[in-house]
Amino acid sequence: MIYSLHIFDRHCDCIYHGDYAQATAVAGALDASEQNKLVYGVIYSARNLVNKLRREPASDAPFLAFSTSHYKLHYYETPTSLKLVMITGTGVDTQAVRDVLRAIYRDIYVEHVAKNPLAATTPGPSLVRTKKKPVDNSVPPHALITNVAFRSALDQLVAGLMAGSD
Amino acid sequence: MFLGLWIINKAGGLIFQRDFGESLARLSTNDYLVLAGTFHSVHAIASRISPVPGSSGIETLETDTFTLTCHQTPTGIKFLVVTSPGHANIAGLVRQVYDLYADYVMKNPFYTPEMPVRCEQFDANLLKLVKAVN
Repeated sequence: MIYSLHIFDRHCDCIYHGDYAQATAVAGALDASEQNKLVYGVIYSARNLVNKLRREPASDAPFLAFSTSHYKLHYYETPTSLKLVMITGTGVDTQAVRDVLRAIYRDIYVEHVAKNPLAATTPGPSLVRTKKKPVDNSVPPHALITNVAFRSALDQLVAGLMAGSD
Repeated sequence: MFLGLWIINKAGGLIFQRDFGESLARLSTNDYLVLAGTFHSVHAIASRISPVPGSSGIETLETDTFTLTCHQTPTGIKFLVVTSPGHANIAGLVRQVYDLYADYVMKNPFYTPEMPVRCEQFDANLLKLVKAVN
């Protein structure tokens, strides 16, 4: 049971958000951008918590997943600080989903987005000190993934996984 | 391997923290207080971002070197039990810790609820439990 997938770039922007299973409407439902911000906040804090508690400095992001009574959130971070977050039902094996997230990065993101010469890429860390502009919610992030091939490949993969698990 | 125990009160303040074994980093008291506050908030937000209604906060947090299990009591106290990843029967361990808390902390007439835990009997019996488990 896969509920949703979020991809965040290194500037904390949500560049992709996909909803899959019929998530029953939560009373007081949040709109998409609020949801994205909360998810990012949760993974950012969890990641910092885990990094602080580790003895040796973490070479690879150690935070793997957390689960609650109703869902499980899986986290995979690439060396380029791209963060993939997948929310599934409970009881799903962490390592299996980690492999899936790695496959999504390797086979779908790299193929359709990183290798796409026309895709808008996340700007790198700025070397020039510019004045920080206030966050404008109506403007979509620069690196938003609008690639149809990416979306359809991802939908196919998720549909395959959901069908396989039933 | 039982690696550590933290107890957080209803307001998010850390009232007890003990490390057993060497796997976790040694931090200052202030760092522990900040981490406990962070966990308290993350626990609350986790129930908010749930795709299905009625979710609890974080119950388990997995990393590659340790697993953190959070047991929240109906009174709002959170017990964070840190174990090594392959530890079997974490639920039983959490239950035993909660039993010790009920016996040596809550039944102590000089202990004020929600305040830092300073009960010798609790510490002594906790060490005995750790030795039995590890």
